Amino acid sequence: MSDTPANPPADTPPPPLAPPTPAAAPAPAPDPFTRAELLACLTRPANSLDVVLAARGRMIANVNQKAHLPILLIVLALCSVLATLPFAVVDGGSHAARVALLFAGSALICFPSLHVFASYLGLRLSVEQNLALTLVIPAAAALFTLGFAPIHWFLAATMPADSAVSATTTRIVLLVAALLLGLSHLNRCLFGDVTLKQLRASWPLWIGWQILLLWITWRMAQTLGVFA
Amino acid sequence: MMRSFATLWLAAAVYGFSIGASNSWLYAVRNLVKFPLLIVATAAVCAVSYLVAARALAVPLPFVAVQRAVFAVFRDMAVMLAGLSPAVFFLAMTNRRAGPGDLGDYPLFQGLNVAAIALCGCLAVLLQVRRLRADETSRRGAVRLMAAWMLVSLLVGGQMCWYLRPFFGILGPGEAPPWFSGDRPDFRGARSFYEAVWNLVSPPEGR
Repeated sequence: MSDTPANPPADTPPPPLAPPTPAAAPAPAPDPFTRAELLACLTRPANSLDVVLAARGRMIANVNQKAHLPILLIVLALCSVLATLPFAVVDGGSHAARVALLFAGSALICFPSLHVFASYLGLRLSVEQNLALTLVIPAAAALFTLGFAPIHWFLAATMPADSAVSATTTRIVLLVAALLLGLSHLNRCLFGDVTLKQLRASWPLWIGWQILLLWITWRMAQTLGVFA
Repeated sequence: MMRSFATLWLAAAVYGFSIGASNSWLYAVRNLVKFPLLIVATAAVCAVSYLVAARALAVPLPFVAVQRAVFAVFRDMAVMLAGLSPAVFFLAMTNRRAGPGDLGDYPLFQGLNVAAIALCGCLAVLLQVRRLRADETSRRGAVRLMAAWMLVSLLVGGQMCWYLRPFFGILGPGEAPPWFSGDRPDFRGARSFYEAVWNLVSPPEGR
């Protein structure tokens, strides 16, 4: 028979309890880009890759908090135009503005409809905020065309112009891919950010507007002779 | 980076030599330059795309680190292929040669090499995913980034391979083998990699 009591004496202090596990705190909202960071994109264009593509949470924070929106708009607009140039000049200097017109032009044509419908549907976003969200698409698409530019040049240089699959075909495929990636990027910005709940609730508006944008871009491509 | 480049070039040259030997010594010697050129030129054309893909997938690697990571994949693949070179060379030497109206063992040799390149490429990519994860890139991010890089490399590398061919292919009787066939049509009339793929899906009539 053991001398050890089955239960500890009443005056023995209870073993210390494990410290309560804190509930998982929500991830803090990202800080918006500072004025200096945005201005740096104008002197070092490579930084626009970080602003537009890599740190989308911070860019959306700028839009949401209206932080340095005019500078952000300038960065997005410049990006939408300048980043398309290497891709566009592969088809000749006379076509230099074609891709910028295709993406940025179509987005700007559709911008008023987004602002008006969003206002009627109760989204309290200013003109600048809606314009920034609109310009995210051509800016992101332009950066993707920048990445595709050497590929487009290589394919144009090595594929015969009169074959069934020519450089025109691959140009169209690359432009469509860039546009879809741009749209996908905006959707990731909108639907992946915790601070944009009101926009998430209006997803039918976004889907309808994006269909309109695709349709206008298609007509713009026909008008600009992208398929020729 | 220079050491990695030299390793890649040497390993790719060894493998290129072994596949070229299945046709002739001329092909084998030319492949000492052509096969490494295929890999390096593909990486160069895709360099900007690799960076944009990394940014779009929120992988915070600077330009040089992106190129280093991609180069590591190509280097690992080339080294693995170089490891297979003795076996490939043996097969190349013992292949039944093509004759009039007979392709010999060419289709088998081609299929085996395509499989070897695919296998080594996939293994190299898996190794790089592990390395990226060790650098605090999420597993999902690393896999998606490697998938994007592979897709771009495949689309460009396919056309590059087409343009730089022949590596060990068969030419018509009496034809002098060119260094690069460029957009010269194949037996189905295709003049680019994409057209050749399309012709596989939907063969032209009478071919």
